[in-house]
Amino acid sequence: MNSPGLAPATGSRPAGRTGKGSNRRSVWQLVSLVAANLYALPVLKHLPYPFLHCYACPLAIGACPVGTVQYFLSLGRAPLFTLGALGAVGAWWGRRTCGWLCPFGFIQELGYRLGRRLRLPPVRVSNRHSWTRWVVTVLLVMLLPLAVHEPWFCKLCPAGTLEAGVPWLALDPALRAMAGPLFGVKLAILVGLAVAVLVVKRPFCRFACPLGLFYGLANRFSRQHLEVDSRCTGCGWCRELCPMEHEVWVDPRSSQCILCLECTRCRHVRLVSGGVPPTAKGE
Amino acid sequence: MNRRLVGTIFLLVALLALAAGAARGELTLIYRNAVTLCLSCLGLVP
Repeated sequence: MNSPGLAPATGSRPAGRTGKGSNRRSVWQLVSLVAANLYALPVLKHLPYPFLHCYACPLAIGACPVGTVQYFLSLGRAPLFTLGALGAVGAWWGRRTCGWLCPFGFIQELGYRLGRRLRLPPVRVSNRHSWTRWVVTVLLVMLLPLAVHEPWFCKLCPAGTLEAGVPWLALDPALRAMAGPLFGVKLAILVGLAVAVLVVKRPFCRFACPLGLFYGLANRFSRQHLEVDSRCTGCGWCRELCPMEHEVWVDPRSSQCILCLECTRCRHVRLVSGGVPPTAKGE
Repeated sequence: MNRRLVGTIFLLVALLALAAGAARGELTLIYRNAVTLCLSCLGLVP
């Protein structure tokens, strides 16, 4: 692996693999979006999703893990089951569920693709600002629920507005009449994000998602992770392919890596699964 | 420390927490919270 901070070289792109990983991932994301909303199976609401999806969504079959954590903290209890489930997923797959299963991440990627179709100029925002996830997590998910016994992340969450707030207001006129100023704030956050996703890659995942932060910490020691070989020139192609604008050659185990495997189209990047590199398995 | 060892310890701790949470009835609480339509979570003022 190259040393961190290697300046990207220009005009030295390696030959790529021509896989269909991107299409396969889209299928996984679509199936996950549908499966997370099969209301015919409400019994699964005993279990938290391994990704961010609002349980107040009229069709949701599971529980939002971030909402569940806040609920337990507001009761003054440790959310052992939820943290244990998320920890087990993170220990094996790291942040892979963000890249392959999360419906809200999928929606943001579709928004970015729409922006390219509309020929809007993409805006590159550095992941150096991802410390904002810590502020969101510590303040809204941990401290405020503990202090005021209210799920403050949910009160502002744009995923909840899109998946639950807007559908419920559309479905139930009685709820519409009760909408207060806070809904205006939620809607403004959602509209701001909707505009941002047209030009910025997955902004919510990179700068706000508490679940991404948790899984990102697990990326450091997860069984599945990326590896960059010594022939990497740091050309920056992987960053262009990456839906998180992650500089894979600088830190393959970064908390921003969602293991979507788009970067493995470059032959210098590969997935190590279960601690065993694919070459050792006879690839 | 070896990353794989840390990962294994983390996985074991996570599974232990998961089992402890299930044993003390957290699934019922998760269900109760998930099926309650939280008006404030929708940004509404009841």
